[in-house]
Amino acid sequence: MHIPDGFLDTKTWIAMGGISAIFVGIAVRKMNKKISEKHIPLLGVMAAFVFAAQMFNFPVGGGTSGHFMGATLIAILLGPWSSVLIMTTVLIIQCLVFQDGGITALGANIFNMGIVGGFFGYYISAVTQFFIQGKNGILAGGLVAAWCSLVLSAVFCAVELAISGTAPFRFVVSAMAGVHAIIGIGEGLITVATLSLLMKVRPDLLKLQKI
Amino acid sequence: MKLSTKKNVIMFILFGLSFIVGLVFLIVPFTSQMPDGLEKVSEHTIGFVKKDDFAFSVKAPMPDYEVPGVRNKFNTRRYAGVIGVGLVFGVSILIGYILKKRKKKRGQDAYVHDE
Repeated sequence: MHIPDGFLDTKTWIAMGGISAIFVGIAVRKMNKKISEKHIPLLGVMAAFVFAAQMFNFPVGGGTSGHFMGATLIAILLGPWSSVLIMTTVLIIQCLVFQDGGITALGANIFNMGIVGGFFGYYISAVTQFFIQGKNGILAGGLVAAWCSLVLSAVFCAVELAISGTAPFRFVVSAMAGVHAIIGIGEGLITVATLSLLMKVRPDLLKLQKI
Repeated sequence: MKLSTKKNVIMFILFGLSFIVGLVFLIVPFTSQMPDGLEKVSEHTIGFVKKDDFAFSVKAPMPDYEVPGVRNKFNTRRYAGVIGVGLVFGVSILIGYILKKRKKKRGQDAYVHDE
């Protein structure tokens, strides 16, 4: 879902850049206050995992592929602000080193994948865990939150394209939501698989303070 | 097992990174090269117009996850993946430590309860 250069008009990408900069600024302050030595290794390994998993494009039919986003997974493990910071790091490296996602669209990409993905993912998972307790709650929360956050990210991306006048609103929103509803299943499955693996090998990591 | 000891941290990082690098080597060559959701929607939409003609003035060092000079399609993406994993890991750890250090300097370093 990385928006390349040229898809957003100037007002939209500047506005999205501004909004994302504010969020990233707050994320840095929050992390600065709460980060402990225990967070750092998980932060690095999860960022590396998200980067790798974003390369694993899987076919979703109709000549289309999709890939994992990862914001929800990080938000569940480390909290929404950590998710914003990690996704920002990953997206900047993808943009500058691998030319994946445009440099003018960086703000929009951080907003769609990091902020929307992280916050919706975190809170949807929290609501699910309120209804289903224990390990099953974490897994069910991961599945539901991952699917919802990916579809919501796609919808936000579509709205930005529509605001830019790149594509008609109704068409682009329904097309993006439709494709990502299928990709979301993959997102959910990878999130659940990673969470259950961590539950087995390092259950203590799921109890870290969320930032 | 707790994260508090140095040995456990190193083991976690070593196992974590080897697992990820292993995944990259096994999976990356077989990933789908078809357009992703957004590319597909943009390619097949009537009226999807380019809004801005901004182009990278400097080429990214490894565009499209391909290492320049490595011709083998399988390996070039593998190497790019491994380089990316290392880069992302290094930068994130660095950011983590900088944030942690600044916290210490402000004299607010308190042990964060996390159990």
